[in-house]
Amino acid sequence: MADMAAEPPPAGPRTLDTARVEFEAFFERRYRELGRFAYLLTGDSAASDDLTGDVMLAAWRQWDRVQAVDEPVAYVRRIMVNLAATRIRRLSRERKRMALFLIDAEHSTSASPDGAAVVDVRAALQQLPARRRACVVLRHAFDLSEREVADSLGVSVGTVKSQTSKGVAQLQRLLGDNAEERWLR
Amino acid sequence: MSRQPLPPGEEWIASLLRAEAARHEPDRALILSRLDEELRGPSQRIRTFDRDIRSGRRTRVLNWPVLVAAAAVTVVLGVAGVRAVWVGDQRTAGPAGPGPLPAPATAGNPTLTPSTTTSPQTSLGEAVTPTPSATGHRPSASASSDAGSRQLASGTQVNLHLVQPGTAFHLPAPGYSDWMVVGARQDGTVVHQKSAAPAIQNPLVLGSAAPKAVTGPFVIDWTGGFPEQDRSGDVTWWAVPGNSGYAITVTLPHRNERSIVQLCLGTVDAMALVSAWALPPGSSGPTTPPGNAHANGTPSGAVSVSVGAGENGIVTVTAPDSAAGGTLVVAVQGTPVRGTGQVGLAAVTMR
Repeated sequence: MADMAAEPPPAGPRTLDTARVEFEAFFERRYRELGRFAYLLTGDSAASDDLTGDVMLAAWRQWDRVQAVDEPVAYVRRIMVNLAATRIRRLSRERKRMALFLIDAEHSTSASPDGAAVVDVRAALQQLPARRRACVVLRHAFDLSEREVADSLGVSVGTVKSQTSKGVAQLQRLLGDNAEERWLR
Repeated sequence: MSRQPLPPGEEWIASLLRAEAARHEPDRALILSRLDEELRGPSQRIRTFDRDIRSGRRTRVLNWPVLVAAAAVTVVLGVAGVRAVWVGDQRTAGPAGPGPLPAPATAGNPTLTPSTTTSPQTSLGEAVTPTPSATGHRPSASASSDAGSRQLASGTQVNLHLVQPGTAFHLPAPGYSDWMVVGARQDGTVVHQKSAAPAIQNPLVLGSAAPKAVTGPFVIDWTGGFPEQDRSGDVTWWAVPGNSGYAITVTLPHRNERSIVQLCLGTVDAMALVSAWALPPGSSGPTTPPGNAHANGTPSGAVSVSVGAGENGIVTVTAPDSAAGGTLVVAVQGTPVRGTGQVGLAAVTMR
């Protein structure tokens, strides 16, 4: 009996409906935050919406697991970081292949009409390694504690501390010595 | 819940990142549609994602011979495709008739994806002979009877070019001085070309109905927009009830050449009358049409063209040289023919 009780209940219509309602509530509560997280990870509006859609889909497909964890949103953030890293690797491979055929792979990153400061921040972020970028973004842009960042990324608090510290230092270097003064002005 | 403070001296970086994050408003409809679409039929890609999630990374064995063969086929098909597009453009541009219809994309001029365009259709509305008014409208000696357009003696011209659903646009295109994408965002924000002083003002919705961002017939890509930098494959537009419409005001530049304003619009179970009139610099003339177009006639001094029920197209308005520095008003007024009906607007451009 005990073993049978440990089995998850069969997925009847009621269970599925309940899960849908819960997922929809999660979606409404979190899509904006996750979309902006994706934007800072990818540096691209369209790609971030695609990524957010993929992440939400993945979350729905394993909704039972997402709900089973203490912090569902942390689990979904981890999905996002993994998918973003996958996407970056894929793009990198595609650029290399295109270069093989002498196709200009840089056309899509042509001059942006953004203000210089905005481009600076986005461009600087993109130069950080993926996991370091995720640490800095979650800790600084989303105000998560080091423990929450660690839970979201599936790493230790020590790793978060060191990666965030290195990431911030790298950002400061990339943005230039006067960046803080410019921001304060 | 108390937050863990940031180390001293790092708050400015946090502020920069928060500001950057706030610049992006995720497209709820797009995210949801992706979810719906994928949930209906699980694909290989989803399984791939699941593998990514479990492992945190994906390894893929590259099959180089297949890759090289695929690339070769792609190059061959690409050359054939470019050639086909070029031929298609010539056909599309040919019967354009008078007036600045959207030019072929391969000519560096905006807009239509040639394979989805059709010839201009003939079910145009009645021309309106303008009358003198206190606001400086110039009278028309005669309106053109051209099938695709109506033209005043002053040179104002309105032209309709019908297109099929699925017609694609990319903004901006060479020669464009301003553009605006309407209905792409669920938060109601209109996306403008990023510039200090947009010439095209946000559309004014006629009547009390609020516009809704719903799926429309056009596919729009843009880069260099604000508040959203870029997007590919946007398919939503603004829709208002069929008894409503829009008024768009455009500030014309000071230059000795005609300005051309184009609207991507359409109807669902409704007809629409598109009217345009120019106001000279300093004029306090009307920037909205009086009442319902079909009931009360078009505004004094306007030229107009009708869009039939269920039609989608590009309306091109050519402002005369004499209107330089003034204002061009384009009004779209709907009349439902079945049920509530809808009048949709997707984008406005100027060159």
